[in-house]
Amino acid sequence: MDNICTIKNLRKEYKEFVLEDVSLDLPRGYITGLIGPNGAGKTTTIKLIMNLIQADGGRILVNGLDPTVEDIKVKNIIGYVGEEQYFYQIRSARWTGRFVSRFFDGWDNNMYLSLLERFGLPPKKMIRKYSKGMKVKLALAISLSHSPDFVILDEPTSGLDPVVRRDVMDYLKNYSVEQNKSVLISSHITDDIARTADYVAFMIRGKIELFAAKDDLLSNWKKIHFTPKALDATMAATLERVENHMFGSVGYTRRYTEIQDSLSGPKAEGKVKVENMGLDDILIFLAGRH
Amino acid sequence: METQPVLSLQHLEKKYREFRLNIESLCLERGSILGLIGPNGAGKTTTVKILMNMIRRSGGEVRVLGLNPRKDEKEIKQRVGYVGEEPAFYGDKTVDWTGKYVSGFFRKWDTNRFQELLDRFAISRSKKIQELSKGMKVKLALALALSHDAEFYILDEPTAGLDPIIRREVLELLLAESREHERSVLISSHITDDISRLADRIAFLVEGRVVLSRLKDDINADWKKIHYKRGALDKDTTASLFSRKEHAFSLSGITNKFQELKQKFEKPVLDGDVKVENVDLDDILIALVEGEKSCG
Amino acid sequence: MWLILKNTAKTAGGVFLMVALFVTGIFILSGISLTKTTIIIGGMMIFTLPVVTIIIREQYEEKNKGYDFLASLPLTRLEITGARFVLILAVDVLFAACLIGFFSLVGGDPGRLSLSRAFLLCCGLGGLIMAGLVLLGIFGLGYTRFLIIFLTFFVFLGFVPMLLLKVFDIGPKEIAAFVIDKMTGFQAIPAAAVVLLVYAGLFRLTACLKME
Repeated sequence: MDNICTIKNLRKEYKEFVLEDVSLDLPRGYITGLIGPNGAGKTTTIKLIMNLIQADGGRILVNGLDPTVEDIKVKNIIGYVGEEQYFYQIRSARWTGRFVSRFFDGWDNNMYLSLLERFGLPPKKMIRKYSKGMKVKLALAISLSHSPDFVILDEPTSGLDPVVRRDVMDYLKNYSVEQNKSVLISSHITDDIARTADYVAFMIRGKIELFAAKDDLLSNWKKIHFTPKALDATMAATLERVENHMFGSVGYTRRYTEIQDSLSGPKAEGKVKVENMGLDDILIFLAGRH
Repeated sequence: METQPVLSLQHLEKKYREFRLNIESLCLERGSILGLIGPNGAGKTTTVKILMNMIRRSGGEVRVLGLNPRKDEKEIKQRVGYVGEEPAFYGDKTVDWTGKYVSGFFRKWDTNRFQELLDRFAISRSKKIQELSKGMKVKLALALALSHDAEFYILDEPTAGLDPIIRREVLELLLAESREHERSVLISSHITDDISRLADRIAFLVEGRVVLSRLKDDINADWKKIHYKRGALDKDTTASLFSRKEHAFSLSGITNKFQELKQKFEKPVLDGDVKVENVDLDDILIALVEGEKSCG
Repeated sequence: MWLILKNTAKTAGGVFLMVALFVTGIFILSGISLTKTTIIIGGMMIFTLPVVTIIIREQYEEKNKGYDFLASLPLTRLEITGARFVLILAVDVLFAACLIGFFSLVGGDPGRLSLSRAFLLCCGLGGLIMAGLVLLGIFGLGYTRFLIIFLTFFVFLGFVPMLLLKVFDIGPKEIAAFVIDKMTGFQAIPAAAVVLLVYAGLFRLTACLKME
């Protein structure tokens, strides 16, 4: 598979935190969601891709280029939106566009202006008067106006209302699908990831615990409630963290599609109940808490 | 004991130059959880601040725990656990100092509970406030609000910026407070998933007005997403749908009266011409916002 | 309210100590005697101490959004603003008392001593009114906006002596004579009563203002 970004054995050590041996391939043309608790290393990983901090080991390639060697080229491939948006408050969006256009090859001002219109951002209004949601949309418009092959968003939607979030996520989805662009987005709002991402990476305590296609995750990860002796040995072997309660047991499986057919019998008899797991449930499971 | 609502608003009004908050009526019974959903600038924070007497209302009746915020501000604040949009503390002070300082203002303070919550949220006591991240400060504010034996929690975006694991923990704490101790909660959030897990009743605030306020279960029963083939539904039904979209092979829309229209859908569903799906609160909010706009 | 006072007392105490040290230093430099300079500097310090205390404390509150924090606690606006006004009153009274006591200890020409007392008292009362106005301004306009206006006002105030000298031909000597003339017949108790009343009025006004 063709990858927009490959990360191999990436290491970064801090006093109280270590990014350990992170390897991750982000497929070209798809949206990858990065999920994890605070302090898991999501922002550190993104900063390493952007060459904003130096790694202690390992290797990153963005579109085949090493960011530590070809910094400028890589930055032209990437469109980045961070958690906080900083602009000159007393300038307009139009001025800001002209200002940042100098830093990018292939800046398309017509595209920028049409993006402003698409997001409902008045180009002549002072940015000071923009709401928080408008500032995030402006940052997105700026990051997309040099047609980057790879868009990276670090917690862009925290604090935004559902209407704005949907607008932003829908736009990204279209950008990715229609122009075969790649997106990496980290977010605490797992719903947004579940709705838009094609792949999901779970990062916990400085490690990638799991990376898979979203649809596979959602169809394979299930919570199974069952009465005693309802499952045979092979089925029971797929379950993890089984807990026995007074009236039955509960366990988790990450291979539901394998046991789905053999479960249909006990399910019909009411001896087994299958509960869907959301991405947040999977994260909570992986982090080892219930 | 008389069953007085913990919260009741009648004709609440607050006028600003470019914005008017106007809530006809909103009520919350003891032991329930009310989720408040709405776009930024719809008036959620203004409403919450009026309850805490941080903003003066322009008109209408407000009762919190049967008390008037204008007159009984102190008593309300004693009995309400409040977490504001951006919790503020003295940055140069430690977590420990803040806990001790705050405890001095409350009649009832449970030191053990506070310590337990700090441990649970992994907040170190000796850290200075300015060393805490935004999420940590929210967690500290939650720990403080949960430690003075409040009857009613008023929480304005308490889960913004928190990771999914901590968010789930906070939700479980609040659920336990409501189920086991009959405490009431008013919570606003942009993360509608959290609201749908937690709330019994949901109010949608759009442009200063409550456009929908019902029990969650009723909302779930009445609001559905309908996928249908062209011609499968009659004109009136189609026209009544929100957020209508055309897809490659079908159309879709959202109905707000599924129970009423149920019979109409029965046959086409059997024929496979119509598919009925549950809808997220997000989708409902978007439909309501669109509806509001098209009405002018 | 007592808890807020306790918490802010440290800031006030710090400023108090610094100013006290400064005045003591001036005193030692002037050979520990009641000179015109020491009296004037003492008066100026009494006048500015409350305002300086307020500005330092309010800057801290502004930086930390302290009033948002306090508003989330079981406190009314009356108590929050009340704590400020009480603190400043205490600082002002305490410092004036200390200085007047100190001057009495040093002693000197009885006429000059009583004149100094009247002058210090007058500065203390003036400082109180000033402090009340500053608090009103900060709560009413917000810290940053108020500070800009306040500083502009002071720059303008710097031109006043020059203006007096250039236009009306009034120099330092004439001002001193005017002050001494006014101070000799100074009625301490009625003046203090009026000032306290005005101060209480300013407090009431501020407490009402701090509402949106």
